[in-house]
Amino acid sequence: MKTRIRELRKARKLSQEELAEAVGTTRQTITSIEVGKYTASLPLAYKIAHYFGLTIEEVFDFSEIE
Amino acid sequence: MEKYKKSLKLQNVLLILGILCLAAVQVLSFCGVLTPAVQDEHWAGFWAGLVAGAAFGITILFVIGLVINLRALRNEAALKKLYAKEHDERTAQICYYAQSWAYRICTLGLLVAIVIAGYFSPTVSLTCLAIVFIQSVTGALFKLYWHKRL
Repeated sequence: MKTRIRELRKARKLSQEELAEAVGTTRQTITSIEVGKYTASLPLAYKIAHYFGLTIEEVFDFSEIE
Repeated sequence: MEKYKKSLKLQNVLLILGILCLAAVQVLSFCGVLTPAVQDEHWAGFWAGLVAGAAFGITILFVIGLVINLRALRNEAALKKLYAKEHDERTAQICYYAQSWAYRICTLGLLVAIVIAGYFSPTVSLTCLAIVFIQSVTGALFKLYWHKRL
């Protein structure tokens, strides 16, 4: 699944490690979500979106699912 | 996080108990009180060494676990990191897939082994059969349990 996490993270000058720590996951998971290898669960997607002050749809691209 | 801290403390108690038990086994084995039930003397020595090595290896693993837990309990940042690592959903999914595949492959391997070993050793063949049986019953029981929970 495509996401805007990398773009949002870069805009805020955040490292993957810092984002992972903020949302309670590991750096490897953030990397996998960013490159589209892993699809985050609903709670994690919510935490990430909430961290950036956006909705889940604004961070994650659901067009491929539809 | 308090709940997690409590679970780490309980884990530490269990680890310490495990370390003490394993240390006792090693001391008793070293003193010759505990000896493997093997008739052949040369084989008994080899086997005693193997068991002692395994006990020592497990003790080291327990000690490492204890050190990691103690460090996390003393340092909030390390605690958060350990919590994230242990509760990471991707890691959980990787473990699920890995174990699920390992279970299937081992079961298949054991089924083949039952037939092959049947021609050479009935004991080995029956042991494999017993393992497959126990594995299947345990798997079925857990499936029932999770069907009710999810």
